[in-house]
Amino acid sequence: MRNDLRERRAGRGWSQGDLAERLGVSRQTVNAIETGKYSPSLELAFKIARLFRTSVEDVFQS
Amino acid sequence: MESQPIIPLATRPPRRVLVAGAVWIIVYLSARFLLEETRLADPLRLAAAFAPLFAFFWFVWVVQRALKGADELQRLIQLEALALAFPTTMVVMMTLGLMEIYHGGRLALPPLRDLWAMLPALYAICVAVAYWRYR
Repeated sequence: MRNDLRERRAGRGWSQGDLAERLGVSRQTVNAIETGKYSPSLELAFKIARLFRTSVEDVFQS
Repeated sequence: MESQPIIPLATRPPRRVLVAGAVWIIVYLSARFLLEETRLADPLRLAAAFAPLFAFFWFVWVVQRALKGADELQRLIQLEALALAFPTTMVVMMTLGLMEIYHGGRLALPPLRDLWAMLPALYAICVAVAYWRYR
């Protein structure tokens, strides 16, 4: 599953640590999602989408 | 529900888990020393034999708390490590047993009471492998 989380994060000027703090996950989790090594749960995907004020489909594309 | 900023989760296992694990091992080694190297009364020997159980229960409690505080990827990593370590342990023990049958007698292996040390070492390797996969 592809995603544009890295671009969205960079657009806000956040580091992976900053995003991890806002999502309540580890920096490793943010990195694994950005690199496509890990697909987040639906709960986390919605959390990410809410944080960037968009939909899950906009962030994650199959 | 709005996401609220919280303290970022650590990637490495919490120090409390390592401390609890170390305490468990120290209690075990102390109990073993008391049983093997001293001449205590029987009730004390029995108490020494069961002492590691209390450290074990504390360790399990600490691990459970750590898991509750971990995020979903950290839990997945622990699950994958267990899924790798458990069957590997089984196959090692099976193979050692089959080797003994093949050999027609007891092999010059460490006694069963020492083989447990292989398990945490194997688990640590499996955790490292799982972390590496998601690095």
